[in-house]
Amino acid sequence: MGVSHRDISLENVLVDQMTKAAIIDLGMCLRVPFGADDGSIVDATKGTLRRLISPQGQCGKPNYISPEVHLNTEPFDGFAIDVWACGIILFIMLVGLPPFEWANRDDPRFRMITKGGLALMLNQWNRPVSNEAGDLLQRMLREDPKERLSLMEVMDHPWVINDDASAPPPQPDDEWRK
Amino acid sequence: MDDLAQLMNASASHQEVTENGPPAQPLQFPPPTVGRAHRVTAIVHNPATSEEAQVPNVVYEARSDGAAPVRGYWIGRKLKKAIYGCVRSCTVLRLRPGSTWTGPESGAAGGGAAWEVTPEMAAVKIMDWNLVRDLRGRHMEDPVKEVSAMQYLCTDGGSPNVLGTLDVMSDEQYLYSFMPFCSCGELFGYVERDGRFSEPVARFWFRQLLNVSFSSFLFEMYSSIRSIPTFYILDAQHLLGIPNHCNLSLTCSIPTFSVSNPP
Repeated sequence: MGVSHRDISLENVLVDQMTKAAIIDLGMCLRVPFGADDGSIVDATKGTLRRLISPQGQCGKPNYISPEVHLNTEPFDGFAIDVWACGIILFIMLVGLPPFEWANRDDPRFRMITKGGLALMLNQWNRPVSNEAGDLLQRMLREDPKERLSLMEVMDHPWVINDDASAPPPQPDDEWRK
Repeated sequence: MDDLAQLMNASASHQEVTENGPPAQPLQFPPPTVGRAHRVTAIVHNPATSEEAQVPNVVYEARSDGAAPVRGYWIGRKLKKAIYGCVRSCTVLRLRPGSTWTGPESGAAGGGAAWEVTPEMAAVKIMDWNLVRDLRGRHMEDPVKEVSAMQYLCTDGGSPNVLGTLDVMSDEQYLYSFMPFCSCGELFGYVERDGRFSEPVARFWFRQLLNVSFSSFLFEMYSSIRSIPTFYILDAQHLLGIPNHCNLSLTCSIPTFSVSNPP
């Protein structure tokens, strides 16, 4: 539908019946502009390629804001900023902590990850992940959106297409959720 | 967006998007369809116990043609505070079989309550128009855009992984956004509870996120192109046999994650 959410986070994903995820809070989303052959701007229904979006201000939760939205000086790709936020979510799900507070170079953990040291950092934290997971996270969390994986590359990544996916096991305290 | 266009946009590199033309402003969402809310104290029948009770805060759409409302909502407890108001749970009401709708004072045939409770729950984001007017343009979160976007995304059935909308109504004081209810809370709560997920569990949620984040149809279509077995398809309803009427919940975003020192 050509929409950039801009506020994807674990707090904005709800769970139903223990197994189904549903995203909420569209108050910051943007309807992405697409370019027509004649140079005009059209919506997603025309079947063309999207355009970059002029800076729209900083928004989203601190842990999840992409570097380009944090800087707010250059046009950004509405898809790429959501890929970044999904990378942060995956990091937190696998590690149990957010990688850094803000995506800027003042943060040493941000510098370490964006220089390619994600796996090393997780080993130092004693929270290692598989090589495939580390590779996916590293490539989703590239500071420069030009180097970040596209949605298709994420969907095609070996970690994502791995057969081994399972719903969370029932917990003794789950009964109240029903 | 047709299938090929979805694939093209999902696989486009940043360079290709950059070269597609100068940056542009985002497009506007179509204006939302907002019904006129009528909030009353009503007598409600419980078919399970045959009891009747007078309850406050029953909201339904007052249709301009005078026709009977499709459903009503008995607004209940507060679930969460929100920037422009709060989120509350609701019990969905329906008109009792045999009742004749003549307006707010309607009763069932032979007297008694016009409304009866159903097993269905909902959630409502209640936004105070005074706060909306005060903060609009000064806050990044725009409640009118939110309901517009939700209705836009529900076009053609929407996505199983994006919370849908049931009704949007307004009166002089509040904007009401009614949504399906879920009792399982935020995914954040699962991480808090478990500390972190195993990779198979993280993969289970992450695949749904890919579906949520971009297009409800793209992954299914792409999966079939790649001849991936059915169980890879991200539609959890198909995957898990969850019925279409499954309940979802609503909360609103209040950042709660602070960075902890790594171990």
